[in-house]
Amino acid sequence: MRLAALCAVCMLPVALLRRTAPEQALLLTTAILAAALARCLCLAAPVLEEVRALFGRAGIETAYISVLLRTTAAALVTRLCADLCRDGGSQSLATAAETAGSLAVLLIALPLLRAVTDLLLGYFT
Amino acid sequence: MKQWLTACLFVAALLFLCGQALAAQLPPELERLAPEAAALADGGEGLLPGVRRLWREGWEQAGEYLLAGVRSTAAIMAGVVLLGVAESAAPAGKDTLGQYVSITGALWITAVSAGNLNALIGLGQQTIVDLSQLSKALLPVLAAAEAASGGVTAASARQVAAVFFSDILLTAIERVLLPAVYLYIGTAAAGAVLEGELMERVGSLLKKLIGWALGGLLTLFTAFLTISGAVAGTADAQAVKVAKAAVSAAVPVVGGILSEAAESMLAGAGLLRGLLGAFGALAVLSFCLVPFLRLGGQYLLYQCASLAAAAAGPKKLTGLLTALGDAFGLVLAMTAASALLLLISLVSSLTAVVP
Amino acid sequence: MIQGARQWLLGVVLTAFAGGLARQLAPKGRERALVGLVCGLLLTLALLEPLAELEWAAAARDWPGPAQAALAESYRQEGQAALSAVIAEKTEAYILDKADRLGLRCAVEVAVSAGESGIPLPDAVTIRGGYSAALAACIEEEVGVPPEKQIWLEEETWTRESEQSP
Repeated sequence: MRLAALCAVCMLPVALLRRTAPEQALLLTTAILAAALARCLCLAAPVLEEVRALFGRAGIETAYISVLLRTTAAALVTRLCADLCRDGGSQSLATAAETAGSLAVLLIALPLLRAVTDLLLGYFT
Repeated sequence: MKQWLTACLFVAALLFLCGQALAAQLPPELERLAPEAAALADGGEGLLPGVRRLWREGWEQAGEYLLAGVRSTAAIMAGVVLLGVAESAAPAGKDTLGQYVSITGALWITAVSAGNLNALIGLGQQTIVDLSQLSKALLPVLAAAEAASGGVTAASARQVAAVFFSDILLTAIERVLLPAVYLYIGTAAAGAVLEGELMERVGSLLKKLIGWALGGLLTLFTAFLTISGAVAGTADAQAVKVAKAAVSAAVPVVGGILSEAAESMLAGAGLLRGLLGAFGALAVLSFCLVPFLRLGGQYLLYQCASLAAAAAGPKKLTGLLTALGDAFGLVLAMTAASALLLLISLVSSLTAVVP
Repeated sequence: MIQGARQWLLGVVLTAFAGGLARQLAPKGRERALVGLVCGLLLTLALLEPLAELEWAAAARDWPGPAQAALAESYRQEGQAALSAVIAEKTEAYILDKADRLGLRCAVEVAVSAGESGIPLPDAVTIRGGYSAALAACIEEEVGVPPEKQIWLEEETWTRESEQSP
């Protein structure tokens, strides 16, 4: 709630700066974003630990859960970067960021894809 | 639905087969296990009056619980309708409010129904354990009576099969199927909160697996009893043929004594089988009636609530209500499967054609 | 096997939940589709991998054939014992009835044993009372117990024996 309030409150100086100095508005937005993300990570750390422990008890490999978490994080970061680029007025950079993010997600998911392929081939042979 | 019909047919068969047994006596351990059923069976009134009495008493007992169930369902419906009003009052195209409505509704429904769920799942579990104890005490005595009537091979095959399948069913219910019901409730709650249909599909898979496990086990058991009964009957018929030949080869007086002795044993065993059948039917009814009424009543109440919520409330919450009702239905199915296993063994033993 | 089934169910449900949550957190659009792809792969692994590792042979329970045979044998023995008791009782009653008609006073004990067919038949008779040729002949003809298997304990002998024993 505090983070949401912070973002809402910081909208005013960002909106004011955008009229006079758009690059400073962008820097301010980036700074607030970084602070918000850092705070989110701190809040999420105990939850992630609990989730890992829960999946460990269920017998699911933690490596796979890490893949899912990293994928989600990559997706969030990609979207934030792309939106930041759009805020800065560069659609092409935004698209490039999204493409890079998609490739990163696929790279992260590669071990998972390999594991599924091996499993399915194992059934057939 | 099929299982309900089959159960009704078996009970009807029991009612016709269990006549009055005046001279036979119930073993004391059976009387201790189900004293009410023992009193009714020993009373000499017959099966139907006992069934009527148990039915009346069961309804009185279950009535109070059903009233409490109606109250909690009404509370759930009130919350769901309010949330439906809130959702419809939200500006169009705003998904966030819809999400929060679903989360709030899911929390409300699970909070109100948590007590009921725990109590009724616990009740179902206790009933299954009671039925298992009853079958461990009753079936050996019934098998011994059937063996005394001449069906030695059939009785031993039936007894071993009943113990084997009953053990598997109890283990599966306690260690997999009941935890699966809790998982099903969890997936339903998660499905109400998360977007997409993934959790609903997982819940549907769990429900199907539970249904297949119960149905498959009962079908296997019935098939085994039918086949083994036919095979064992041949061996028993052969043994009786040899005995009859011995009787006819003996001197007339001894032959007469042998026939008399065999007849008196058969009559005694037949009376005992009748009494055990009546006792078994009444005991199953006394153990199962109130849980069936409570679980079935709760299932119907939740299905009605889901029907009403479909008109007034958010779609996700309707699904959650249906799933919670289904959870009661699954526990009811497990209890019914345990009762059916015992009833099938009873009817199979009573209807066995003794050579 | 039971434990494996529990783990499998729990694994599938938790994986589906984690996947649903990850999809919910991911922003709408291409990112959500990519996260959905990863969730699908994860769910496939959660569904299929434990099934490949399950020990199917361990799940098979041995049918208790020896227990069934032992149970059938015990039923036969119980039935045999019960039938033997009834036959002995009825034979004793028959012989006592015959003795009564002959004006004799005695006590009868019949021993029963299974014949070739396995059916219990009267094998030996012990009569406590004065010897009666008519009764002995009746027992031989009608009950089928030959004289060598009839034990007559005449009263004086029985009384002398009971006086001598401490």
